[in-house]
Amino acid sequence: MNYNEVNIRITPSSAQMNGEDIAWSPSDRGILFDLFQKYAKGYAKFYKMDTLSQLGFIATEILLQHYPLTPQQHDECAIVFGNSCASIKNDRDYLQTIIDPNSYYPSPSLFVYTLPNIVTGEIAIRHKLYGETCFYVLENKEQLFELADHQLRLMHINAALIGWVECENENNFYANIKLLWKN
Amino acid sequence: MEELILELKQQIIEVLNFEDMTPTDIETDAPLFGEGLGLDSIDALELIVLLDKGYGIKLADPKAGKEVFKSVRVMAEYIQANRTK
Repeated sequence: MNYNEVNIRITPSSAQMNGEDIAWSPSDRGILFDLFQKYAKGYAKFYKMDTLSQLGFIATEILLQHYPLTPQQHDECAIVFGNSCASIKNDRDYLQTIIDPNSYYPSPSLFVYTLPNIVTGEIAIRHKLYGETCFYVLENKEQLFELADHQLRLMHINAALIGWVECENENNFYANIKLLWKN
Repeated sequence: MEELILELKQQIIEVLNFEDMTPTDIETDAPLFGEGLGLDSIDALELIVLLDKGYGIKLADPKAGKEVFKSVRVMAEYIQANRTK
């Protein structure tokens, strides 16, 4: 059976859903904060996330606000994400807290994001998704989408978020997340 | 003491990323955990780092943290009595 599919793309300068521009009010805080203000204001945990998690979180937030899952889909929805540079941006930020022996204060709140799969947990918690979650570090998004497609069919999964979520630094990130579901 | 309390509130807002808050939003005697600010275990670790980095206080015993982090006022009193910088 084929899947229904919708998707969202976010870059530092654009946000599109199914190829159509998403309107938002740009500020000097950047697109992730601006989208957060529009779509998820009040979810204070956002401020504590690393940029990779903020990216995956807000992209999924917009997608699921426009295409809400049924209760059964919430129980089954899998999250299969990937990227090529893991949690490099946050790893560098964390490194800054331990690199100077004379000012060695490892930051617990940065440390908890030194794994890229944390973004899948943030999304599962926010939307109460109880399916399998995984995060792959691969060379490119085509590999991820091919792998995810294989997994979905092999495991007879009825709904899934499949996403390439990449963040090298605060000025260089990219998310392409698809929501797939069977009728 | 009031100066230290204000400084502490500003530091809590900064290290715990309470972007929408100002010092006046934090009640001096309200519990930091549970029904007060609703901090979690990672926040508690950040407060331990804050005590060490800002005031030279090493809190080795987690049970002591439970007492020290009761409220901003209790924290400030502990800092005043134990600070090394």
